[in-house]
Amino acid sequence: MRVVIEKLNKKFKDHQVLKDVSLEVNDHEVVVVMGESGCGKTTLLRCLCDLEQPDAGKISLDDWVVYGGQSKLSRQERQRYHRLIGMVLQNYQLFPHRTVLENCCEAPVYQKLMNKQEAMVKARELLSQLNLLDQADQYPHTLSGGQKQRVAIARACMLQPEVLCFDEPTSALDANTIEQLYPLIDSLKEKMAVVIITHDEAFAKKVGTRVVRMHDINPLDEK
Amino acid sequence: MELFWTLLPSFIAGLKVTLGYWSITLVASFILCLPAVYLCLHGVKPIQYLMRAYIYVMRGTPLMLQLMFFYFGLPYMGIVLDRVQAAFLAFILNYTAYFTEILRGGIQSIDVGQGEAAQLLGFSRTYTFIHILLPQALRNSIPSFINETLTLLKDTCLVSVLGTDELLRYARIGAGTYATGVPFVYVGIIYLLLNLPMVKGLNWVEKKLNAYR
Repeated sequence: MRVVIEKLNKKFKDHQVLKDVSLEVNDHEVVVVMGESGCGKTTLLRCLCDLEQPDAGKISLDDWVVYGGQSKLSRQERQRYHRLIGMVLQNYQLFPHRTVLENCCEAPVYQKLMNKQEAMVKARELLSQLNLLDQADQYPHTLSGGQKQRVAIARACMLQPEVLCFDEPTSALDANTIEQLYPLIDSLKEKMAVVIITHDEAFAKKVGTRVVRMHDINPLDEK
Repeated sequence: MELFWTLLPSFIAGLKVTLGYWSITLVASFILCLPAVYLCLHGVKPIQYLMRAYIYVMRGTPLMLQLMFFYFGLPYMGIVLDRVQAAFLAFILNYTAYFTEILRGGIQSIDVGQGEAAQLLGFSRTYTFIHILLPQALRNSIPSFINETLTLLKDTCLVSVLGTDELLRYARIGAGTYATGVPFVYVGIIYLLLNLPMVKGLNWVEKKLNAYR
């Protein structure tokens, strides 16, 4: 799936954050967007993942223009969009009252992509690939940062997205855990496109098939 | 002690009334506060304003005044309620407002990222409210709910202003009849004994719900 962002604009009250930002992401590509704090990279990702409504511009997935002056997305369209684009939030935001397995199974069952039984089989398979099978019945508060992140990845992957976005995936991890992230992102690349927002230069160079500097795409971010 | 045994049948009758008001108000208010808090947070603007006004009035005026208004005031507007109806209406409306406010605080104390994570997974607003936010908010609000539950038990004695035969009213009758203050002490002890299993029971619920904390 090809994601095209064209001339995206976003303003918070009087503060313009994004101005005519354009970006393309192709299938099986790991695009790393880099920039300093406050340069608008997280806002860009949030717009892409439908957590913020852009003021102007266009976002399209292949031929489907998701944003671009037309009326708001319907509930079904929005659900479809969230199935195609997944996101791992910075603090992972696992549901604390659900076990690891329940965290993974809830969305595909809710979206009627599979029944509970199928979801559990699929989730166990994914958790096993991520070395988390032993933690399947545990609650998130018992997990380490790296484990939580992998659960968040598994939860997002349960919807089989075409694009998976990461917001600062290394910010809460130690060096050893970051090392474990490289092969994981490599394996994700086989199945989908990956967009990563980070300010970690070394990480960006290592995982990215393409590194995009925010100041190159957002005129408001000065070099 | 002889006085206690003499008064015991009336204390038991009063206790039934007290526990009746307590339990029905508790259950009804708890059930009603769930849609109320949803309307407060996600209702259309006029409904949100209406809910805020309702909560402000209920929390800003004494419960005794509300009891008196529903029983003695409403008949002047052509609405006549018997004392049980008036008492339940006042109690349930009052406690629904308090419970709604407690739950609203509980929901607003949850990380906004939880709602965003739910949105990213394609959950609807209602599903997110019921399955993601509410369970966490209830857990956060348990200490406040326990406090309100105990306050409600003590507040039930206010129905005596409507002439309802509850525990305190029987103590007053006993004190007048036997010219002694001892019945009030007995009733105080009964309230304390009632509170004890409630505190223990609710703490147990709190511990159970904290399993995932």
